[in-house]
Formats: sequence, C-alpha cells, structure tokens
Amino acid sequence: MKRLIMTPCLLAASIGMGAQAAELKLNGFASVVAGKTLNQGTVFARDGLSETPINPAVTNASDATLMADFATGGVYDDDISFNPDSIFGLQISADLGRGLSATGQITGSGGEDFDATIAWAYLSYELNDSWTMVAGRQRLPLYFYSDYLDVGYAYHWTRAPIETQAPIDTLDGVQFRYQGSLGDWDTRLQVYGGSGKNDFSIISDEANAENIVGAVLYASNDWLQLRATYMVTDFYFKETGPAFGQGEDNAVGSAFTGIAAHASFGQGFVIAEVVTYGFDEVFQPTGWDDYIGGYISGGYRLGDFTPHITFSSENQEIKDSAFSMAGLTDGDDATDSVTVGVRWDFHPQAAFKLEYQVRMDESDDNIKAFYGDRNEVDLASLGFDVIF
Amino acid sequence: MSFLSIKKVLSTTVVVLATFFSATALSEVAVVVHPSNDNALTKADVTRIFLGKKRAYPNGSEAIPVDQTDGSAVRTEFVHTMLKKNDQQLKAYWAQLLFTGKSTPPKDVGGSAEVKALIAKNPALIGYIDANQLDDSVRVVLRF
Repeated sequence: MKRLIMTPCLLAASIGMGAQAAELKLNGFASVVAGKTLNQGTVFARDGLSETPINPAVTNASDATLMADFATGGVYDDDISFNPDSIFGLQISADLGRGLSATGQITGSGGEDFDATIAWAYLSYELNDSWTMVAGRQRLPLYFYSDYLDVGYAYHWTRAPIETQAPIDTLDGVQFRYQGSLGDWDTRLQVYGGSGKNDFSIISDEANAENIVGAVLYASNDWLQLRATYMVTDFYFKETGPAFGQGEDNAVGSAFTGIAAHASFGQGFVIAEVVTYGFDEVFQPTGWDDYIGGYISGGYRLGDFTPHITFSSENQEIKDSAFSMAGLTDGDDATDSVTVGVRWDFHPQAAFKLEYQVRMDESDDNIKAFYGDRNEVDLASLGFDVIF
Repeated sequence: MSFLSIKKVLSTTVVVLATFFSATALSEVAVVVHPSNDNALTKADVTRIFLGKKRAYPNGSEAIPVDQTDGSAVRTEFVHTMLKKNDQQLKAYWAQLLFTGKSTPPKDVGGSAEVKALIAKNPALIGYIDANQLDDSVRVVLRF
C-alpha cells in the first residue's frame, strides 16, 4: 500500500547509509457501512445485555435490532444507519532504528459516536532475529481476526461474525512474539500479559479484565493457516459487579480457548473457528456461564469479485441472570446465523461490499418462555473499506 | 442452467486472464543482493524475507527487502510468481500486519535501476530487477 512518507530525504538516507533519525510513517484505514434490518425480531445470544431485559417480550415484539459490533455496542434497527460498523483509523509509526519503533493508532467508531480512542499505543523492540517485545496498548489477540477486526479491507465480510467478538478487545500490557520456521511451515508464538477494559454503553457500565495471561500459537504454509489460543483473566463489571460480590476485589476467574484453520485452494478459501469461554462462578449481572461459538466461512474469487457465505452459531449458558428479575431460570441463549455477501475490489486500495445476514433464535424453552420467541432478524448492509 | 453460465463466465475469465498475462510477460526477473552477500537463498527464504516473516539472512546478518514501485510490471511478476499472491491479496496481507504492529511492508524505491543502485551500496538489501539490467554491481541469487 502507498505509504505517506513524511521525511522523504531521511528515507533515502536511511536506506543508503543506515538509519540516522526517526522515520515517521502515517497509514490509515476507514470503513463506511450502511445497514438496515428488514423484519421484526431481535436476537443476540449474549442477550443479558439487552437494554430492557426485564420486559423483553414487549421490546422484541416491535423492534428489529441486530447487534453488529459487540465491543462498541453498534446495533442496527429498521432505519438505515451508518454508525454500527463505520470506523476510521489513523496510525503513526516512528522507526527509531536498531529494531526499536513507537506506534500509535487512533480510531473513531460509529458505535461510539466517532469519539477518538487510542486503540494501539506501543513500543516495539526486536530482541533478536526471532523475538520481538511489544509493550503498551494493543489488541487482545483472542480470535483469528481480533488483531485487525477494525480493518475491514483485510477480510471479506462487512463485519466479522459476532461470534468472534469479545466484550474486551484491548490489552494494556506486554507481549513477546517469536517468529520462526519449521520446514515449509512458518510459526509464530505470542505470549502476553496485562489488563484490559471497555466501556459498555449498552448497560452504562465498564467491563474490566485483570491479570490477563495468554498465548497464541500460529503456523502457516503455502495454503494452510492454523491457530490455537488460550487465555485466563479475572473479569468484572465496575458498576454493577460489586452488588453481586463480583467487583474489583472479587473478580470472577475465566478462561478462553480458541482454535481456527484457514485454507486456500487456488481462488477459493475456507476458514473455520471455534471458541469457548467459561467462568469459575456465574458472571453477574448478565448471568453468563459457559459459552461456545464458532463459524465456517468460504469464498471464491472471480476476478475482482469474491462471493462468500458464512454459517455461524453461538450458545451462551445463562444461569439466574441478575437482570432477569422476572424469573429467568437456567437456559441456553443461542443463535444461528447465515451470511451471504460479495466483496468487489474495484480499486487497488478500496473494496465495496454487499452483504445479507439472517440471525435466528435457537434458544431453549426456558429462554423462550422468558424472552418470548425472538424469531429471526435479517440485515442488509453495504459498505466501503479503504486503506491508505 | 445457471451452473452452465457460471462455467462459461469462469472459462471466459481464464481466457481473458491468460491473454493478459502472456501479453505482459517479461524477459526474466532476477532476485539480487550486494556482491559481498554470499548467502545461498532458496525461494522460500526470499518469500519469507519479502513477506516480513524473516528479518535475517541464513548467516544471521540483517536482511532488508526493497520493493519496486507499486504497479510496475517487474513487481507484478515478482508478486505473482514468487509470493504467489495477487496485488489485492498482498495489500490485505500487509494491512493485517501493518495495523497490528507485526511488520511493515518493504519500501518502494523505484524501478530496476534504482533498486540496483541501492543494493550495490548496501549489503543488507535484497531486491528484484529486470534480468536485462544485470551487471557486476549486484549478485544474482535467483532467476525466474
């Protein structure tokens, strides 16, 4: 991609004679996406978060909403909206030479009224040919697409499946990254630790993760990419948590696991990912217990067009959610989704995307008895992704 | 019926693409380094260096890849044949690494003449040029 070089003279000098001064690079990305739900129903498997869960039947009878971005709270309804998936990002990076660099990335997402957020801010240092240390604010590398979830240009969907989105997506901490090779395979190991937090506008609270420790193992060859990850953390909601003995001092231990595989066959590709997380005790106020989610997606390039299809599914075990004062008992809050779309690479640095998504309520009877049958919700969206 | 038409579109696409590539085919592309760089490099080594997966030569010295200007015929040939990607796939690949702090794409330094001149001056650099422009100022590690 084209890089805006702010110091062209220094660039020439640094290649010819070795780096003498910091070389600044400015890069950016943007996605502008419009979407609209097409029928009634409101389905989301982590629905303990609904704004008015105490009387959900009323909410669901008239609303048609689709949660598009979990971390920013981007939700579509039956009016055309540009906010849930639109995002702008600007990255500035200073190469200080001898393997040291400083990078900052500021993003503004529609789900948060485009308030500027510092998504990444870190120092990176190459310890040797294989190991790099990254210290500061960075993405929590939970899912295959976590690191570049904001960069729509880098994947085929308008939005990555909700099944690949966690309530906390940022790590303030340190990461050690190893890059190596084994025969035809390239390998990468990431080990990280720190903490993270995220404003949860839907319930006016702040989700916190402390004592994060995790690892990612990644291997790739000509056609196959494999990824496995594990992370543990102490998790709590800042405002509502203490009322349930789960505040900062009594955070709930939780563990996250994930595996993914991406295969390319000529012009075609298939990716599948499955993740789980669980808690040492039921997480309140949402009543979350064990969770499993995943998807399988495939596409085929025909010139500049890439039609694709995705099947995804998630199941959140709910146990006596504190929000559910009207008497929700145990249950499986579950959804299945099907997404079809096409990506059109109409420009070397931009893509146009058209997508249709159906999310269906697959919850068990207990959940249905409480929330009512939330049916299905269909969403049509189109958008542009650019990088610069 | 629709299946048939898809097949037709596919075969047409293949013919069009084949015509395009044969029309723009080059003499040859040479991957080159500084004459004092005596590392033996395999195709996999070159690919790893240009995809940001390796930052040193087999002897342990630093490896810095340089690209030709985006859109040049030699670059397109290199990306297709050596990196086995099309331009869009390569851009998406670098977007993934760049915006996640894993690596930055090689610098664009110009055409074959500029690449050759820079490499002749710096033992860390590796690049690719039109084989017609080869001379003693650089050493060839691979040709295709």
